[in-house]
Amino acid sequence: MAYSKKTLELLKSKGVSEGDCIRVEKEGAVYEGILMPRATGDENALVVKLDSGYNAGVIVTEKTAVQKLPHKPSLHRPAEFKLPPAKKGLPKVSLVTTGGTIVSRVDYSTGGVSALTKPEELVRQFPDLLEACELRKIVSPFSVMSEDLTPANWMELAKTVFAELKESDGVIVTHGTDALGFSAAALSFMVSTNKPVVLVGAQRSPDRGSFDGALNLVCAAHFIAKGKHSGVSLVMHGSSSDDFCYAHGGTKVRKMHSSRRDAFQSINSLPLAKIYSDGRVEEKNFEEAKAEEKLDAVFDEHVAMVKAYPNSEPDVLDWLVGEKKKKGIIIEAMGLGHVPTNNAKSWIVHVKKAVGAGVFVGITTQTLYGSVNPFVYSNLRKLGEAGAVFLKDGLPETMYVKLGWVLAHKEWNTNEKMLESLRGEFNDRLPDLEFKENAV
Amino acid sequence: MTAKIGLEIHQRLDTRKLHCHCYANPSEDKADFKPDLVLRRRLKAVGGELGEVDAAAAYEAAKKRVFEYQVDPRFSCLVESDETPPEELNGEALQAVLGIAKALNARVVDEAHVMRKMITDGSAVSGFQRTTLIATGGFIETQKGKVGIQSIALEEESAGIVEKGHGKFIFRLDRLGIPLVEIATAPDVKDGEHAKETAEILGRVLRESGLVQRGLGSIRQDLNISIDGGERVELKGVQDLRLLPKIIGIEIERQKKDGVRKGGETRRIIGEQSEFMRPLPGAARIYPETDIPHVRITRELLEKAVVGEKSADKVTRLEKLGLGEQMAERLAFSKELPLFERIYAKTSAEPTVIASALLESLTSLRREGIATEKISEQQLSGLFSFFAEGKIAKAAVAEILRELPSGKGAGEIAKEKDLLKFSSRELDALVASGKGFGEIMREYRLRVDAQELQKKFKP
Repeated sequence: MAYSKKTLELLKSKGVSEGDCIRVEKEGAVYEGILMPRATGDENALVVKLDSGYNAGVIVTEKTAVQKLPHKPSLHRPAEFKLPPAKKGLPKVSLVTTGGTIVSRVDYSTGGVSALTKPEELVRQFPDLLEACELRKIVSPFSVMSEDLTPANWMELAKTVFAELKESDGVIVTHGTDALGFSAAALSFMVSTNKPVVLVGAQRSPDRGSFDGALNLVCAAHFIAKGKHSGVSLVMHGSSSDDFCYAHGGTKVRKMHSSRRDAFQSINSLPLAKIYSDGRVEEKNFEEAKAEEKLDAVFDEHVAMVKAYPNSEPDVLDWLVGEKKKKGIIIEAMGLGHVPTNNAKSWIVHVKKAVGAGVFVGITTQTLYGSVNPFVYSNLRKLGEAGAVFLKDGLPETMYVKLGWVLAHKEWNTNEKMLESLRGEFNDRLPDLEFKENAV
Repeated sequence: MTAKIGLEIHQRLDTRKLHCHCYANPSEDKADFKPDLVLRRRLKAVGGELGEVDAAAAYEAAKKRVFEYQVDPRFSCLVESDETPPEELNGEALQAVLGIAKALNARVVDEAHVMRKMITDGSAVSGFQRTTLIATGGFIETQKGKVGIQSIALEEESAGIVEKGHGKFIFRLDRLGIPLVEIATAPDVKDGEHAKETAEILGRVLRESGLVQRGLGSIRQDLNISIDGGERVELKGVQDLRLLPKIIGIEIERQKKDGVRKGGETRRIIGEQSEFMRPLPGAARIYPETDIPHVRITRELLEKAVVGEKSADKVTRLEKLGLGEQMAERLAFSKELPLFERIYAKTSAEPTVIASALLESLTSLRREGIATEKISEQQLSGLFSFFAEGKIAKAAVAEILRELPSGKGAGEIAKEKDLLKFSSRELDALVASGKGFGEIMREYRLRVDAQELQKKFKP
């Protein structure tokens, strides 16, 4: 949103444009400062940045007098920054940015947000990075808010990451946090590698002193430098403090809070490593394994995810299959895998119909924690008999992404592949640790 | 030599916090406080709205300190911990500051923009203080002429520091985010005495608004001083208004002798002297808070804002009720005034008895460690009704107050503690028994009204 037509006309008649020094007088009040662009709010109100630094909105009426003032000498800009020579023995790292706020820069003269594109810009913001790695390159395949990502973006991201791995010892991917879990899963399946690929995000914006992404980024670099883990992981704050980060496996991680720094948690598994702000890395909970170096960036978009709940409409399955031509559906079911079964809105007949039409129907749980089970109650058996596949402790989002990837491989048996643990997406030993720590 | 002197007053409002729904009165005793949670954070230097890194912010951040924050979930939430976006500007606080702006003859902005002021000394968890310009261009009348009011802003109180030194910086989050009204005067202050008068007038206007917190630290004065058109020095933390003339004199002498660093200085007042804190922060440290919508200050909103009753008018009104001059003045400036007025309207008890109970007895009981905060308004009204009906003597009021935290009513306590007033017939019997006035008063002080007894002796 910008200024209204009326306001713009007034400004034009006075020869004033955004960024100019102006004097606005209205009913005895005087505001002198820089005319700022308007992002939200009343489009008839001029935004003036006063000399004190405050912004004030002044609504334009017949009583408002606007006058252009001579430009004040512009405030000094930071001096040029040169990248210091790399320390010997540090891993070469490529940074892939995808449009998250973590490596953005706000240009207040235009109100726009742009991504940092040069290593020196980033290092200037996070000098600690140089202690952990040699930042080789910054690549930006696309710039999208994470909720707007599509499978095409996942495939492009996988290709970019794989290409960078040829030259670098590891890759850091910066990403918006809302759909970060999905992308972590997509990269996990599409990129098979013996080198570390670490996704990071930020829950606070980089304009503030308390920016959490700084620690996430530095810990990601330390993890690449010192960790033994290879393949895709996600590094974010381990607590609300700036003490340490956790590295989570790319298929077992989920955003569990809308705003906290430690929103990302390993579900049904334990973090791969604890990385301290001073660079110490404590690794556990994973087995070193040799992987094939392979890019497999494919995805069949004929997949969907639906939630079953009391009084939900099972017809949605018919619509997804009939209208949307879906070949695979993940159901977020209740508890051990329940869907409404014995009432007027039973899902059983619709599941049977979908499976009959050759559609894969996978069952996951809304509780996220714990595994689904096809046997404990008779209603669960009815769902199994209808042809639905119980996807163990797989996270709904991970199973959704995996299904699109599996379906893109025509030669594969979907049921078999969906139940096989290919990238650590299933854990046959659920950790027996205290489940809730904030009990009263 | 010419000196330019301006004042900056910070006053806490007695409402919920500015950008969340927590309520905290930090003047309550916290000696035995044990935090439920401690957060450890770092702050990095950041660029300002116009692309420069502010000298003050960079200076602080360069120190690479670790800050600890003590959390008491009763008085702070995820907003103070910088773990969730802030709420919109608190409407009650806005109403209060609009009333204050009117009382100071200031021009209110059409649309208020919440800004982030970079603070990297750790006292703001986010690395910035949210602050909103509400009005400009006001004035007050003083004995030495008009003093201009440059700006009136609504901002967040900082977190209070608990411990400092040995590389440790420990803050407590209860205070963080309490609304502060910041009033900055123009450099119209003539001298030290004038600064004192100006501060007193502003303090009075703030108290008259009726919505300000009381107690230690709830109002703070800063000074801006420059000489001969030189760089400005901001002196933070004047504790006692009486010291203003002396502090100003010392600072002017200091500037003449030592000069002022380029770009200006922020200095902390210690006693009457001051020490260097950091370079003066520039305008670059303020940039927009993008998480909070702008607030349109409509004509209706402005009309609804009330200018507090002038203290002088309050005193006159209370004197008319029969309070002595001193008591009327104390009550007029006290936060207990609304409670006094409600109780008086309800019970019609003798005003001096209500006033002295609220201003004196309750305070001394609190000092004795009695949990007076447990006493409800209903219990107080019950007590004064009981007194107005003649069931207890004046002297018994304080004794019953002492027992009210138990939750019992005044009548029940009076019976249990043998505090019911003697009837006229019982007094006659006492007099008839041959005891003298002094003796009866000594023995039955709590149950006898001296004036009534006197009448028995002087018919």
